[in-house]
Amino acid sequence: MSRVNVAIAVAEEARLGIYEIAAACRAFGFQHLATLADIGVLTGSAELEMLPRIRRLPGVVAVEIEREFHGKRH
Amino acid sequence: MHTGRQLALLRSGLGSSAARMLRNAAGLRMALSSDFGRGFLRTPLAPGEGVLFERLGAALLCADPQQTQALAARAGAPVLMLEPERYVRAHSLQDVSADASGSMPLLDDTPSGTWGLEATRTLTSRYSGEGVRVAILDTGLDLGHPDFAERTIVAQSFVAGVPVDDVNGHGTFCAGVACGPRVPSQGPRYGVAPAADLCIAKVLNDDAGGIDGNVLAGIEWAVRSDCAVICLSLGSPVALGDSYPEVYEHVAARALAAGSMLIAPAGNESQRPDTIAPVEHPANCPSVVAIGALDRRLAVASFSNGGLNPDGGEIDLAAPGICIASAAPRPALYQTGSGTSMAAPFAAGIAALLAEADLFARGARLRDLLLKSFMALPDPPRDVGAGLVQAPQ
Repeated sequence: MSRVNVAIAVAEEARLGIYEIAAACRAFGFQHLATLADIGVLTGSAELEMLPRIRRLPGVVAVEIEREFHGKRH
Repeated sequence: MHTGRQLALLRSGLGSSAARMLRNAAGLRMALSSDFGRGFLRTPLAPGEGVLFERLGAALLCADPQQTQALAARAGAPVLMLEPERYVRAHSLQDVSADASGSMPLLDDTPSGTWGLEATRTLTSRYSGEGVRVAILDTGLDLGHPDFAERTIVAQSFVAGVPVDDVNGHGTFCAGVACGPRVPSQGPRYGVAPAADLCIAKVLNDDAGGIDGNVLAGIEWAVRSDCAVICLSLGSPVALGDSYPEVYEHVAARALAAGSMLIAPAGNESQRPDTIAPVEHPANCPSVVAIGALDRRLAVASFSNGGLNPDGGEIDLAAPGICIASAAPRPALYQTGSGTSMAAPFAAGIAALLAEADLFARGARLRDLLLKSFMALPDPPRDVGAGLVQAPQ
């Protein structure tokens, strides 16, 4: 079992139902941290092996594991 | 030290017709650089003569004072800026090691503005970004910096437990280039859009590192705050052949639809000429404008990543990215830096000028306008995209 932070994008036509989609994700062990309704994204964490199932949920268009960023000063 | 000749920056899009316009305006006998091949610099210019660099939108002139005055005074003339040509030394007191050698003169800061503002034609722009909101998603801002004392600033931290104040300097630098004041408390002007309203989102910690959750939350906040321009001077390396991240592409497309354009740096992982790294995430999203860095000869910077991956992994535009002066947190107040992080805020500031010039230019329309605001460069599109981003006049 490996838990990862994820970002989940919901389909444009499903954005009004983003809270229902969040509930469906929680059924697969998604720990919901934030709902970014204006850009249609849920953030939180989930078990790595559950990500394909979350991706197949109606209204979910992308699931990505969190990346690290850095300022681009040379 | 000046050579006695002049370097003219011309209105964009004139091509070879600029030669005729310079002849009509000041009686200059003009030749085209394309007619000389690589030997034109060995050809001395006689008084009253000039060479037009069609692809650069620039000309080298040997004009007398009357001709210079005619070029400066004539309404609708092709010349935007006329500067004395400078001698360049290989070992000056300034650090020129990061600038490529070449035939172009080395641009430098002047009392009126940094070299980046001159190269992007910001100093002659009639626009200031007034009425336009620009979001800087970075390490925050020194909210007590004297150069930002009179500004409308909304700030929020998305880094848990860390205030928005910038102790790293990266965010203050980027905010300074995009939206620094017209008249700083010290030194030359360094900011592109001095009247824009600033929305500062701290999404990177004080070591200039961050994670998706904070960055996405910052984008959401900026979109909700009606920011026409969102500058993310941050990135995460990708491998050759990698596709763009789907979540960010959805986010960027939605931001465009909501009237907010995302701009991001190409990344600094190249070691040219030996190694060129691909454009990073999130600049590799098709809906994000990707900015490469130029040196003071307007050649691609040695560290600037290239458009190697398809489907969004291209460079869209290039901007000044070496020896850039801007703001620093107190007590230093000012700093000089290099990187594609320093280039992206030039494009962000110019986007704010374009948004002021056309009140209906938001989202995709503003992006299209920005992508058409360039001066062609000799380096290939893989490295500089369409060319050097230019301010509206």
